[in-house]
Amino acid sequence: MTDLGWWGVPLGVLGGALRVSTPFLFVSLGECITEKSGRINLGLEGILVMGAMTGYAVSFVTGNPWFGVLAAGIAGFFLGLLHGLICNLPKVNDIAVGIGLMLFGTGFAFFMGKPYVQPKAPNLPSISFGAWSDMPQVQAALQVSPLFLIGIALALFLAWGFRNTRWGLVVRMVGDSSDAARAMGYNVNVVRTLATAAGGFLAGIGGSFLSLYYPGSWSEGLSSGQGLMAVALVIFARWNPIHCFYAALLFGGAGSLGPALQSVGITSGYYLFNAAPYVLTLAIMIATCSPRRTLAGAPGELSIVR
Amino acid sequence: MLPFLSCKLAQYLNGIVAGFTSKTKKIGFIAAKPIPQVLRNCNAFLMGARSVDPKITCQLIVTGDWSLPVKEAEAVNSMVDQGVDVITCHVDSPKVVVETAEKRGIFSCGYHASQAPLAPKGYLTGAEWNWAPVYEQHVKDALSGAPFKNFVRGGFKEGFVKMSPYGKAVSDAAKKKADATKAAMVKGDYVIFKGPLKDNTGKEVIPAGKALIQTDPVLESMNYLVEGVIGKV
Amino acid sequence: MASPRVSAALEALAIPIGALAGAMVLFGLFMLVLGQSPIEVYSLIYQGGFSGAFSWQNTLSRAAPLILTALCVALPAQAGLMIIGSEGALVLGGLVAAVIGHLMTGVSPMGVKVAMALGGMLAGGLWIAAAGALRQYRGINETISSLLLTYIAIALFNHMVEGPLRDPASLNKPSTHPIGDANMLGNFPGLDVHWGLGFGIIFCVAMYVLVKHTTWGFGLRIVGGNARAARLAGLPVSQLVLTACFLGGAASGLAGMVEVAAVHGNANASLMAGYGYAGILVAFIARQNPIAIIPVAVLLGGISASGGMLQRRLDLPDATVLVLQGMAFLLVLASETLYGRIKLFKSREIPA
Repeated sequence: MTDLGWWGVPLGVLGGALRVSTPFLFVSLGECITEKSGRINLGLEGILVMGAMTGYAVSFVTGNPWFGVLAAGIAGFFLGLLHGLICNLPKVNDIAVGIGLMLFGTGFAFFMGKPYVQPKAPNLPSISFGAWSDMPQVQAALQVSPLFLIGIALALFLAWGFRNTRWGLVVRMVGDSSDAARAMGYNVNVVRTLATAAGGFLAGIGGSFLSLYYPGSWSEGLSSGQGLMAVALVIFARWNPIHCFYAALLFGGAGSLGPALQSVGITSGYYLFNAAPYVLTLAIMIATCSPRRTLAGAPGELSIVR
Repeated sequence: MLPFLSCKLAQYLNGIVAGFTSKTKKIGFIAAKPIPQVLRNCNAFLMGARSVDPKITCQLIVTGDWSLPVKEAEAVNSMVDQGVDVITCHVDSPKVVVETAEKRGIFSCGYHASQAPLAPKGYLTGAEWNWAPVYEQHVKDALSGAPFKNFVRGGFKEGFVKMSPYGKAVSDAAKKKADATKAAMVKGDYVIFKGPLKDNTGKEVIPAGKALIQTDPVLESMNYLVEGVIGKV
Repeated sequence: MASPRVSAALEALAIPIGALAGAMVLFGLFMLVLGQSPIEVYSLIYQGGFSGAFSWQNTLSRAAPLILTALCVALPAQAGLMIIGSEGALVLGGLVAAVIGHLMTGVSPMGVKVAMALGGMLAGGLWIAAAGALRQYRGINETISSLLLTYIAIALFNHMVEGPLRDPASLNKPSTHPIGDANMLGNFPGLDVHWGLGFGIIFCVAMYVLVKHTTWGFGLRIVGGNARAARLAGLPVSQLVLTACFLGGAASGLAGMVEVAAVHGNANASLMAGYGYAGILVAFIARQNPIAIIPVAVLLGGISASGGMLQRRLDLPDATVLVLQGMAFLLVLASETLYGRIKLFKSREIPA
């Protein structure tokens, strides 16, 4: 094996970006759909954890990781639906319900997931894109999950769909002006509830990536706020699915900076390096938000930008 | 009850096996926090390996908490990228570390309980805690009216620590040396930390001629990494 | 009979209690589905949290930091901000308090305690005020930024406690230097509960008076109702928002100081016991009312105190309490929709 030395850091960050970005990607695409419809669901962190637990448990019981992925999506769908239905009630605040869902989702997942911490469930396969290189490090860095590819396809599809399909236009119209949508005869609450449930479905799948691919097992410490960061990431990505993909890569890479630096001998301050994704999120929000003008691309009905 | 079992003995044996198995002469240790209990195990792991080949170095990565699965997996990946080919750890559960090592095709030693089913190819051996004798002693004490021991210390001799069965990749030479060392440990007089011993900044931490037996309380406050460990406390 | 005031108060009392009762029924059904007897579960919660001197002591010791961390949510909420960063303010407050307690020598213990409390409050206050400032001056959503700030605060805390500020004598549990026995907060006279509970109650009462009975508080509530109207009316909106955030953060920082000075004696990882997150729940169930926070914190303190009992007796996972709390949270939020819609509470003139 070639000695990489310092090259290990960029390679580690690149590999980390490919390995760690998928949950960010799915959660942010899900949140993108929800926010386009004019609601915010901060509870995707809870849905992510619930998806991770459900996916692992179902994969363990059925022996097929793809059933796990599907079950994680369904669990996320129902939690998203719950958020959507509660927010349909007048006077109920969507941000507060999101906080509640965050606590409920993680608590429920920890409760149900206890028996699945020990056993070993079948993991998702990986696809290798590194055969052209004879360096095992590069080959390993280019092992990607099929979910990652599905995520890219989904980002492209959503970007196209928001512009060119009927449902895309309806979701955007509901998000930009509920009065206009009502005047056109659409039921705003139904559209938003479905958009939130769809967002939950994707966030659940993002969770199953954590437990079924990387790191590939279920435990209570599995998510370290990825679900919440992904919500922040959507604002940074200006509600554009393609930008969500780039942002997810960036966040994945930032998360692997700490271990990569330690492995080449930068060993002090690892807590601070490990906080890089949070600092990065905050810095990006500071750089891109402004109190005076509405963000370009922001859905007009969204409570966080109003 | 706070049983501080002498896993450093077992990590020393892990180290011997790792020393025989490693081809790159780089081994790795993933730690949750830089506390004496963990540093001792890391030092013992490397010293075991160096008893086989003094050129071996050990990379230390600290994740910062007891259960951070994504960080642990990233730590394994970045160490493998740097050429490390045998890894062990001291975190809540070695599951993620052992599994990720297996995926990357390197060897691993376990901790707490046997992880052999998680890594059929790369699992070498591992230190396991054997709780039965600990409880047995507590019950015995209780029945005889002896005071409850809040602090239990012990190793192989007392039966508190055992090793998981050797994996396929372990050579006969490694088994022989590890078994011989283990036999000496069972007798209870085996000393790992003895002078002259330098830490990885070059400072002498145990002077020549001094030996710290494994129950020596000085070891409970170990705050250095021995020569050859790449990392900082 | 029922004046508008009284019926509004009755409504504010009845709806959250009804929502909590609903959560208990739902959780009971959930337990039933899992093959547990709900009656047994609830009687264990009662035993673990609310019966006997020992349970009450445990409950009240947990309620003390919860009261303070809940204020960190409730005060900014008066101005319409949803801050969920109490945990970060708590750990930083605890850290600063521990450093002050260790470094101040030659001062009377009373002086040290006052300095620790002020230091902790300042640290927590500035941290949450930062989230408020990001919202006022950069338009950043304060819910997200306050949680990110919490993660950053925890990283800073760990870095300091296990690095520059570590007491070399702390072995397997890295801690800062001890503040010394003389500087520890004592217990309430005649009770086995530390003074932190008193701090919390005093803080709540003071904030209630400030918010409900002063011009400043009136201005703050106008901002919370409609920031644009408040600005048009010439209110110093940013100043009001930042002060509310600072006071909230100060309460959480004081919680950290209390945990250091009454429980641990130094700053270590045990400070991160989740009081900050549970405080969010307390504040929402109390509907952000500083006085209502006190009984709600005691209730939740008792429920979490009984977690161990559920684990031991019924072999339920420690997350059981989280499920109950999550259900309560969602139902209380959903019940917001009932205000003003129940006939019983509509104020009306009834001839005597």
